[in-house]
Amino acid sequence: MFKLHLTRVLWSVPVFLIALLLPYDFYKYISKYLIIFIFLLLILTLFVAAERKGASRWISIMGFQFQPTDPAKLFLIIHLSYLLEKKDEYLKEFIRGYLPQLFWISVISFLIFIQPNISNALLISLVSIILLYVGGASRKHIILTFSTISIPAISFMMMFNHSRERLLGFINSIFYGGEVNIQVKQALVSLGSGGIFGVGLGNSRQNNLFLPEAYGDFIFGILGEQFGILGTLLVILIYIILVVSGFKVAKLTRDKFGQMLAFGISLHIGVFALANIMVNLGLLPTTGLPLPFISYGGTSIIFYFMSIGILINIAYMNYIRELERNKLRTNTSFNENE
Amino acid sequence: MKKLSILILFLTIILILIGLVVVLTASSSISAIKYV
Repeated sequence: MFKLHLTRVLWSVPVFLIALLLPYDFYKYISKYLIIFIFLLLILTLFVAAERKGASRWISIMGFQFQPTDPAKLFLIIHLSYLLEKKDEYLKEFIRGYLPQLFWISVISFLIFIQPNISNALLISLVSIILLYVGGASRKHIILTFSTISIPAISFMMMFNHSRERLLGFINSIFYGGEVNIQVKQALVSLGSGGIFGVGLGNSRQNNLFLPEAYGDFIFGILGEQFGILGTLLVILIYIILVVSGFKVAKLTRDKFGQMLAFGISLHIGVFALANIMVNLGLLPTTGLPLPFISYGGTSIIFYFMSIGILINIAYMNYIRELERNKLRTNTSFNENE
Repeated sequence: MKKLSILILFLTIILILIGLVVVLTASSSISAIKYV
């Protein structure tokens, strides 16, 4: 398992380097094709994906197991950033400005929702709608969207056995006390037994089949057991600094596409990390979300690497553009003085 | 911006390394128990 994880990390390095070296403006021109490609791939997933743990999320391309939800998250952020820049003047108008973006959010989230991959669909919608709000969409339209979508979404969620059980288990634990489920109980035991400094690297007892998905969705529990509360706080601090740095890149970027893309990527990492940590602590219903960059999470690590490559490229390109602008300004003032 | 890009890269590498270490320890215990 470790070898497979290491292989995926190594596979991610060339993807990261390509994203790092490719000027981010390039994604503007291909965003339409990327979103149509992922739309077709998500439709294909519904028909050809083998059922695993009650959901059909994985497809195999040339022997490579692949979850289209992972690129879908990134490609949706890229396309929304493009639309936010393109439709900047009409953003307050419902039909010309807001509807095209809402269309893609709804289509992609719905195709992920019916896999069923409810947690990912909801979080993607949340990140996308926050992105629209920050991008300048009307508050009235956003409130209208939330109020229209929330009731059908909850009703749909109750139709799937596993999501209904998880949701009801979570609600019961709030009102009547007790554990959310066995996974969360074991994750809390892991975190609690770690104490302040942890039991030490490799000394975890909980991963000996007590805690299911110890290396995947519940890796935060094992992290807490081995490194203690100091280790978990350090990881949370790293995520906070990473997300705030991403927001800062967005703030300093001059063009709207770059701004929205940097903000969307940073928000996406922050929201998914927060959701995973909250699930481990029993503060959200149990979901199958990986902890960004840490979990043994299939294709997710490759696309997180790609996201970071794009984010660094935005920062670096704007740094170079700023240098060129300063040089030009100095030359102009020098010529004027002459 | 240059400093920010270096910081983002540095933090990502730390997270990846933490992930590799935790996945290694979590998966090795599971494989060890199979042979007990």
